[in-house]
Formats: sequence, structure tokens, C-alpha cells
Amino acid sequence: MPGDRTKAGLAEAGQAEAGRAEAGLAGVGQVKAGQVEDGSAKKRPFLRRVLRFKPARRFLLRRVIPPIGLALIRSLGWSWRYRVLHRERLDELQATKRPTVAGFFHGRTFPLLGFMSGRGNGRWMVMCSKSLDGDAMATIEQRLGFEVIRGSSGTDGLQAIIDMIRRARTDPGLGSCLAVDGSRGPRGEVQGGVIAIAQRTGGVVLPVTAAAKPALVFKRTWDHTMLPLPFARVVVAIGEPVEVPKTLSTEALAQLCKDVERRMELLQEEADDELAGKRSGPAGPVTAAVGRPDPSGDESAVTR
Amino acid sequence: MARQEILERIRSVVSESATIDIDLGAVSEDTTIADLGFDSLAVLDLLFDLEQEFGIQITAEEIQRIVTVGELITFLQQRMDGSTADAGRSD
Repeated sequence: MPGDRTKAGLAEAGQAEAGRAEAGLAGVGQVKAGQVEDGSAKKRPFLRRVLRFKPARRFLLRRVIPPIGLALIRSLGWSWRYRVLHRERLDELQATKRPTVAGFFHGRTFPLLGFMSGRGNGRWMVMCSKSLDGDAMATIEQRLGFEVIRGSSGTDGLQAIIDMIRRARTDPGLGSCLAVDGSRGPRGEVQGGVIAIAQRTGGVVLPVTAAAKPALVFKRTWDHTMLPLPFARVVVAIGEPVEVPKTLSTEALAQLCKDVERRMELLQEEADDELAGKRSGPAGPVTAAVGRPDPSGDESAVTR
Repeated sequence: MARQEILERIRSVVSESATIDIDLGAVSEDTTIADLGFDSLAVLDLLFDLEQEFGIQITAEEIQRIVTVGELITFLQQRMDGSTADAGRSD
């Protein structure tokens, strides 16, 4: 989930350090961490040194980064121009209060955070890592109006799924928003979490994805995180809800994961085509930027 | 509650939750949860059904620590007795 992105970034930095240290040791111990090959000492960047100091890191992640991140996401979201494909699918589910598990690719978190937190787009809970790094993202998501369930993988992840199921059972109008490819990937590979929640709440999996232009794509992250640039055009595509049988064998579950994966890929293609102007057929209206009413006066187009 | 009585109730829960065909008569205290076909996600069904059957709340950590039906019985006995002891603890 989103919180892991911060974690991934920090972990990546840590792993890079560790990797360099290992390389140094393997190389007959001549090149150590913090040194370059010619033997001159390489000074760690100031921010990295600060982040290694846990109280400072805690302060930054809990007090400094959340308001900055929130302001950034809100201001970017405000400038993005959303077009929603098949919006009626979301509206129908909300009208019936059918438990809904919105599944999206982890890398599309940012444009979808803006959309899903928008007024008229439903109430959602999201899963966010329990780590210290996840604290920052959890705070941002709470401020955006999401209910945050902590946990990402392993036992914590399973507990988060249990908590989401319990919440969805007591409040069917509260949808679950979950990355289909989990918190660590592999990218684009659907895991069982979304199906597990839908199955145990009597709900459906609603594939959702986004495409944006212009946007930054961070190719060094496992999920190829995409961040639309200011005033980007963002296409949000909502797929056909996927019914989940009450009982599923292990094989049937694997097959259903593959099926959802294929649907997600096709939906992504549809969103990409819409953005490229290749798609024919009706699309939703171009909405106002997040937070402002649509100039056409169409209430359904108000995204926040 | 007697262990045998809890075992019978577990058998009834398993008959509802299991995703594979199980000879319920063969389910004993030595049977492992994995033998019953509960993998990492299917164990959710067992957890929710046990909660409903026994009127308790179980965490992911607790259910994951439990390996055998015998350990599950001990855990449920302790939980229903209001004990805070942890049945699944291996140390």
C-alpha cells in the first residue's frame, strides 16, 4: 500500500548501503561502505544521516512529512483533470451498498488517491504499513478522508485483511481499497487479498485503474510508481464488478486471480487508449479538477 | 468445557469451512491445521467460523501460531475460561 512507498524508498537506500558494504567485504575488504574505490571517504548526504537517527526519523515521518505530503497531494489533485470511464459501475454499487473491494495496481496509487477520496466517490478504507515509514502515509490518507487499517504483509497483512472484513461486515457502505499486487509485488500480479475480502463480505471486486499524462513514472520502484504532473489529464477506468463465489478451492482461487489480472490489464489498456485518444465510444465527462465543481454543473462530475 | 466437546465443535466448524474433502472422524488432536486444507487465506474462514461458534475474537497472530487441533483446543479452552495464557506459544 502507499505507506510502503516511503518504506521502499528508505529500505532501498538502506539496502544499497548494505549492498555496497557487502561488495566491499567480498572484494577482499579493500572497499568499505562509505568509501569510493579510489579510497577517498564518501560523505553520506545530510538527510540520510538524519534519517538514520531514529528519533529524528520519527519526528520527520510523523510531524514534518505528513503535512507536506498532504499539501502536495491536495494541490496536485486539485490541478488534475479527471475523466472517468464507466462511472456508472461505481454508482450502481454505491446505490445498492453492496460491499465493494476496489482493486488497483499499487503503482497507480497517487492518481487514485485523489479520485477515491473525492466527494461523491464513496467511503473507503485503505491498508497501510504498520512501520514507522507507514505512519506518514497513514496520516496523509486519514486526512484525505480514508479509514486506515494498518498492516501490509505477513501476519500484519493477514490481520489487516481480517480487520477490513470485520469493518465491511459491520458497515457495508464502507468499501475496501486494496492494491491487487500487494505491498511488495510482483508488479501487476493479482494476489488473493482482494478476493479474500470480497468473498467473506459477500461483496464484489471492482477493478479500478488510472492513466495520466504528463506523469512521472519511477521505474526504479518495484511498482513503477506513477505521479501525474500538475494539470495532468487523468483517466480513471472502472471495470466490471467481479463476483466471487462463496467457496473457492485453491485452484479456483488461483484461476480467479488470473481472471482479475487479465481484466485489470485490459482496463489499463482502455485507460491508456482513452488518454491517447485511440478509444472510441462514450466516456465520462471531463471533470473539474479535484475539489471544484464541474463547470457543466453535473453533480456526478464533482470529484471532491 | 471438556476437550472432547470442543473437538466435536471444531469438527462441525471444519465441515463448514474446509475447502477440501475431509474425513471428519479422522480429525484428532494430532491433526494439523494444514492437513485440514487451511492455507494462509482459507484460514480466515476457520477463524471467523470459530469466532462465531465459540463467541470469541481471534487475531491473525494467534491463529497462525496454532499448528495442531490439540493446540487449538487448548487455546479455545483457555480463551473461554478467560485465561490470558497463550495456547499457541511454542516456547
